[in-house]
Amino acid sequence: MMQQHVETNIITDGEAKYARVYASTAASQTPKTFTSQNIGAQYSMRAKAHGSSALFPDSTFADFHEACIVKFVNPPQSVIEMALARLVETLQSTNTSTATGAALQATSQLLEHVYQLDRSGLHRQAAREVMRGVETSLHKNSLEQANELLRTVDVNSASPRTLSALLRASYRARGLLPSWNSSYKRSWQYLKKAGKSPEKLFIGMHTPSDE
Amino acid sequence: MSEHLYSPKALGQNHTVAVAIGIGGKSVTGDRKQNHAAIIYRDDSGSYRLAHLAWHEIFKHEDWNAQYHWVDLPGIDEGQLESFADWVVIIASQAAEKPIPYSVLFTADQSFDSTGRYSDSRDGHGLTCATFILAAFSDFGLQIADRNSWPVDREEDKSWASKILGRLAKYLAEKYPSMMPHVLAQARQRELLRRYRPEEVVACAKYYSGTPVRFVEIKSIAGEIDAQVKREQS
Repeated sequence: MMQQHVETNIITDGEAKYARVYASTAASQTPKTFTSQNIGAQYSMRAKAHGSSALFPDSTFADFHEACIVKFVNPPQSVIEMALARLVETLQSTNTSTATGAALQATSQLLEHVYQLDRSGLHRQAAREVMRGVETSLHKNSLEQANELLRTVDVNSASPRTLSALLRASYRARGLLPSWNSSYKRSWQYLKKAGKSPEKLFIGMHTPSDE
Repeated sequence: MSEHLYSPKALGQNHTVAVAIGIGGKSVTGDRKQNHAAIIYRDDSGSYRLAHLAWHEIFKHEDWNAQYHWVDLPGIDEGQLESFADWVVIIASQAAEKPIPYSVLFTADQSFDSTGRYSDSRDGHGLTCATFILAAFSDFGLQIADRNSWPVDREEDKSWASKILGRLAKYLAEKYPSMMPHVLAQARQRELLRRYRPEEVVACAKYYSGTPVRFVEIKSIAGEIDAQVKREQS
């Protein structure tokens, strides 16, 4: 079976007028280049209209193996979101037995992406991306990846809203996710210490001390 | 009589909210005795959108049409509401693979399984427009209604159930004949019907502040909401 190799780099080197996306299959390693003219502009408009749910069309990736290298150079924000979501979906569509390592790597990449959105003040988008990551994982019954998001989320790097979104999106599956309670407690304690009112953010949910 | 609802035209003009719960009367349903509830939210571009369970296996995600009166949800932080709306849209996209059945029977248990698909127990249970909203809030950790406090077997609800099951039976007989047992299962259990009316769910959303709202707390408010809808949407 083809070894899965996934790499997502977001490189910033000054002002960029367009996004360049490199992708190659694991088999050929032949890079394919897309510019904002054929991806970014068109789909960022669609993304603006429909949130970040519009992804690269299937035909764009039709001739790629699921294991691909994707690099972004100064992409518009919407392209980053779309590509990351696409990446998660791509990973989730692979054989579970071989995807674990790459899937966990994608979890790390997704969280890094989310932290970056939060640092940029794009808290709604960050929350949406982390929820999409949870739902994509759960939808494919990849509890391991959903749990990994909860286990590894850095409460110092994620915004309070992102933490809340992560925990709420996974709330209904908390009985199946070993790290849910500890992540919730960790988030609550951090937010309390930071004076961010976990009572307000987690309204409707029990307090960790109830357990 | 108090006015609990904002007018459709006020949305985004006199009042800007992240999420509202809308209620439509005859102008939406075509039936003066039938209300319909929907989630209204503001997207990234500032435009309002509707997300609602319209009918059996029909989830609609569409542009705001200014046909619903609405309430805001002052008890919940705006950011949480935006996340809730975004999550509903994500969940709805998952539901496309396993559409949500319409049913007058609503289980108090988890409605969406861990994969995001509706938990179809195949015993006649499903969701209405109103219980879809309750279920979504609940699975997001926001139980806005104390569901066990709702009355069972109200006379008006039994006649409503008979009417709606007749429509559902006709619809399924034409489109999905194999689903007829789904209606029969509901008919068998309608004597123990516990109905959450659209105006009651709207009232719960309006007055939720962290503790599940009990039926007795919103009974009269829901009546006033229903009266306002009938008065202004007939």
